[in-house]
Amino acid sequence: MNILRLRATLVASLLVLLGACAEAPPGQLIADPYEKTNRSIHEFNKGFDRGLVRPVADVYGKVIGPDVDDSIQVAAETISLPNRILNKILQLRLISAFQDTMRLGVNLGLGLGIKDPATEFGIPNEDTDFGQTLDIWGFKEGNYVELPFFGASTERDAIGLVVDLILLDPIAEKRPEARPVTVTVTLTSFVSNRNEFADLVDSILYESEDSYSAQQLAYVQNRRFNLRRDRSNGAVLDDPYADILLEDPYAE
Amino acid sequence: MPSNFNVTRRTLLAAGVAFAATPSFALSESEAISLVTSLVEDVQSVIDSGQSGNALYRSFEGIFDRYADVPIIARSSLGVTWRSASDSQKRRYTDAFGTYVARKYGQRFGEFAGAEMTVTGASQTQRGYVVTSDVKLPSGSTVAVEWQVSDASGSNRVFDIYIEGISMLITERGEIGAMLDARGGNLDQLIADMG
Repeated sequence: MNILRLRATLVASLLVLLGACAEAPPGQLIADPYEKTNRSIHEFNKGFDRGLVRPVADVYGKVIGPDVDDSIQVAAETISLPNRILNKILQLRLISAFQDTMRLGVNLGLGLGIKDPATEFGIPNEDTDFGQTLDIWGFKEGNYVELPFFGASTERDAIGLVVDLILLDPIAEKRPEARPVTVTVTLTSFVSNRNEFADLVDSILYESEDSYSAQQLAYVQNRRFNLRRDRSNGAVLDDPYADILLEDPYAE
Repeated sequence: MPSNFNVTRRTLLAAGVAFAATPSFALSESEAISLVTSLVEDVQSVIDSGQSGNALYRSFEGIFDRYADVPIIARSSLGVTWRSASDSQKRRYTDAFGTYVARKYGQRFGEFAGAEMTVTGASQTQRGYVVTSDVKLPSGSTVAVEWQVSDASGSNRVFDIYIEGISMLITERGEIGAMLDARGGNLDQLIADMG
């Protein structure tokens, strides 16, 4: 009971913090008042990637076959499903929560948690997190932040991440002894992703002129796209023709 | 932080004007879809041809010239710096930008070898149409790609591509802005390095 009250207090104080978030200044994709700190963390993250994650992912890609890789991905998803279901209930996306429950049952029962018959049966597979729950509840995304190890984020998504990790982890709660296994599988799936998207990540971190800004642009646009898609709104158009009414480029 | 996303009062005003005076489009939905479909077929046949290096980039540059509104994309990528550029700089920058894009995205398009695109819909925008598509990669993952099409240049052209919500126009404006900053704002140096 005390723990419950402690949690409620924690969430409430985090949300109060979020309420104080600034709006993005006009002409900028997102407000970035912590840019200086963010950039230091970015350099740290890059060093961490260059020194550890990238080489490990490279070896992983060479050593681990596609079948084992698929199983690791499915296992990581199975571990994340209880959290997903809770978030979807909080978002009142009850059909989607039901589908995830079916997915968990089918993949655990028929796939032992490492195979994915649910997708073959046509059960939709949509990821979510508490950052999205906050979005659906009407909280603004807040300022841009880059988190150590976790990378690009926003204040809202950072709070979402803390809540997902600490408060919305039913497996850790019911079976604390399973924690080493679930953490290992999840970390391995990060390495697997780093390997699968190696070209994309490398192009942002090591081939762009300003990797901090490139990562920020990619993260914020992609995150907004995913949140928007689930609300089925149209894309916001970047309109390069907007000022040709005043200046005609075709006149040249 | 370079202000790469400067929205001036003028652009806001222009956007307002453009929105209020919704033009009647000559471009139709089916034309927009067939433009995108034929663009993708051309990209696919270049990938399948097994070309590499400069030959591959030249082929992509040709496709870019045929299907994209290069003048508009180029000027938009330069942001506010475009206005202070001389006519000669504008011309040379636009040329160099075509080469830069063909090289950069030519490399990335290689990753789409064996991919299959399905057009999932099209809807009207204040500039024409956005054609939405799903690109299924051989690895099994699906990537959402949206194509912005307009006939504002006088012919039907693609002026932006959104991959999983990430706009090429916004991304390149950021990248070019950073490149310009790194060269102390020297546009001629940037053009020389890009071409």
